Amino acid sequence: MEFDDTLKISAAAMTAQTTRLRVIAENLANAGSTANTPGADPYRRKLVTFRNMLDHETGGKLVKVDRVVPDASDFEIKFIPGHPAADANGYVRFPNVNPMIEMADLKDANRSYQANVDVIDVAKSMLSRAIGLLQN
Amino acid sequence: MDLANLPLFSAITRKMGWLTNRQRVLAENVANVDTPQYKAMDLRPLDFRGELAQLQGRLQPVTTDPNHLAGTIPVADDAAGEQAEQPVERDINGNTVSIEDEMMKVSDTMADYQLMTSLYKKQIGMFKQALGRGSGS
Repeated sequence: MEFDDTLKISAAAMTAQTTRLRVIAENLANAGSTANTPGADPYRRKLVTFRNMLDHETGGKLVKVDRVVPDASDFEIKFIPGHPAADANGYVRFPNVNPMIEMADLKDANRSYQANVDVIDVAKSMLSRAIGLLQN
Repeated sequence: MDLANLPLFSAITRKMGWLTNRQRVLAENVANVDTPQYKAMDLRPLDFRGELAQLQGRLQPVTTDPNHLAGTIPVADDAAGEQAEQPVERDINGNTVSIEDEMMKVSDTMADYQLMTSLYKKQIGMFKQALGRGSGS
């Protein structure tokens, strides 16, 4: 049934956005995670990519999380000689996480999620209208 | 009495089917708002007035024998094809879904669906009234 397909499509998108949210939370939580040993790499920011997958059961295009890929950008370097992760010259590498970017990404994920919830709401109320035809 | 034989009911049913289909396509668009290279889709519009006029105006001959020729009135195909929307905006990743536009269409579809169900109810109510059973709600 078409309404079921609509719900499935929106639900798949919500799942994908939730994964994105999880990765954002991971990035934010690890914004200050440095390495324990001198000169080692700190936490590297992660990114989520989406892809479209044809669902043969519904014939619709479902959204799936394609891959969680590491962000290749450079680490932030600070001069803290007393830090346990400081290298020979006293420099410590901090994660390449920018909280501002993460928050903007968070808002975007939230907005997409909301839109999918709204579509489900509308589909449900259309379905109940159709069922309501039986009631007169 | 088969309601499906009445032109108005048949047209309402077709329109409701089309609206349900459209809702699925719009859900796909909203779901893919962050998918790179995704192109927003929409259904070809269904002409309700034309649909009704066609159903009311002409009769489709019945084929009772395999040797009979099919009627000249084409039976409209149910699955109105999907087509790419004219992009309003394009993201840097090639995505052409505008979420505001899609939500507008979703609520449009919903309103049309309500109109169709109300029309259906009204007609049934009129039948009931004609039959003398209760008031037409």
